[in-house]
Amino acid sequence: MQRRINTLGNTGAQHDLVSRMQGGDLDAFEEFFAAYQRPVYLTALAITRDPFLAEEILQDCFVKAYRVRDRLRTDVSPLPWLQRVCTNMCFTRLSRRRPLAEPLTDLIGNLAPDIAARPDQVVESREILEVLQRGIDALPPKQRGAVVLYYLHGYSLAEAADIAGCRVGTMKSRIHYALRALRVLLPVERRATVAGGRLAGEELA
Amino acid sequence: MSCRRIMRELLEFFRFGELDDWSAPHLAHLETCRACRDEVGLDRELVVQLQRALAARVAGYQASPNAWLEVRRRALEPAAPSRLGRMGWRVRLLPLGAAFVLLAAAVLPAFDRGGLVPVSRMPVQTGLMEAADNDPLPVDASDWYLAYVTSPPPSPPATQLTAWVDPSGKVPFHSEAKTGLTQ
Repeated sequence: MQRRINTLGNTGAQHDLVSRMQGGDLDAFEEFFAAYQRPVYLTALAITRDPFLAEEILQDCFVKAYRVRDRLRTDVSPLPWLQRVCTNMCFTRLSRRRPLAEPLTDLIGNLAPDIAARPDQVVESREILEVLQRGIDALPPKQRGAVVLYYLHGYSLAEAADIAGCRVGTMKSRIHYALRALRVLLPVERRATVAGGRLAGEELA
Repeated sequence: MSCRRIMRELLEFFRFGELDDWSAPHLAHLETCRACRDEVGLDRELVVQLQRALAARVAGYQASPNAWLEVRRRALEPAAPSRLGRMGWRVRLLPLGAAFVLLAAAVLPAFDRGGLVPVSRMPVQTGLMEAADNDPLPVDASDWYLAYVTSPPPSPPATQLTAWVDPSGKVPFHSEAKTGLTQ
């Protein structure tokens, strides 16, 4: 997987943008919003899987950013801070809601009859994706956030750890446990197909 | 190296893009071990599917065009004071004051006993038992004991212990004297 290089790095434009925003320039705030709203919205959407809630969190994030603009650092990118606020808001909102996701054990149970009944259709990507979607929903919030930051945004381990406010080793651990939980969701026949030796020839060469 | 250890380390190398010279033995093991190769293949497949699933979650979605206007409106309106902020500084200080009083109540008795001294720095008094054995009695205690031994026993009160004796030698029964009966 291609990792982004210096995704969160600072540039002169960012420094200028935050400085102007701190001076009360609303145009700078609009530029700030336009520059960072997309990754923040995607994070909220990927974690909550609810477009309305994601938009609400997006707005809350930027309103908060404007209110505490005097405390924003101008020597680093504000994106890690925004992403951290966003993930924390997601976790807070999700904890208040009724859990929608099924436990992983239920997912496995639901999957087993399908394998026996229609093995040719189980390997369809759509079904696997849907099972994985529900598996992601069933992950603990911190593991879900780690997976979103690392695999959706493509942040490096250090960047993801910076956003999550943890050590790199902790971020590795969260990703490891998330993958271990999701791994059991892959249908058995899919595993057999994957393990057919394709890797030896293609990916390890 | 065992397959178990190989897999644990190798999966981490693959997941986090940390393949280097140190992982060469692991890769060599993969070429000869079908089971490990399958495990790596499954893990790689899972990552691919996971990335697809995450991308599908957000595909086609974007913030509404009104998002900026709403953010701007909310950012410019004065922030509503929080519930705690409306209560005034005295009420906000109440928990702090209560905590201080509790802390003082817990700590002040220790100062009364001579201050807070860590156990490790408390003076250790050795030989207390031997000293107790050799010490004479306290002066006031021995004086009290001598006075107790040498003094005569206290006389009982006359009104209670002196028997009444009739000059005739007869000891009348108490009830007879009172009722006037004679033998």
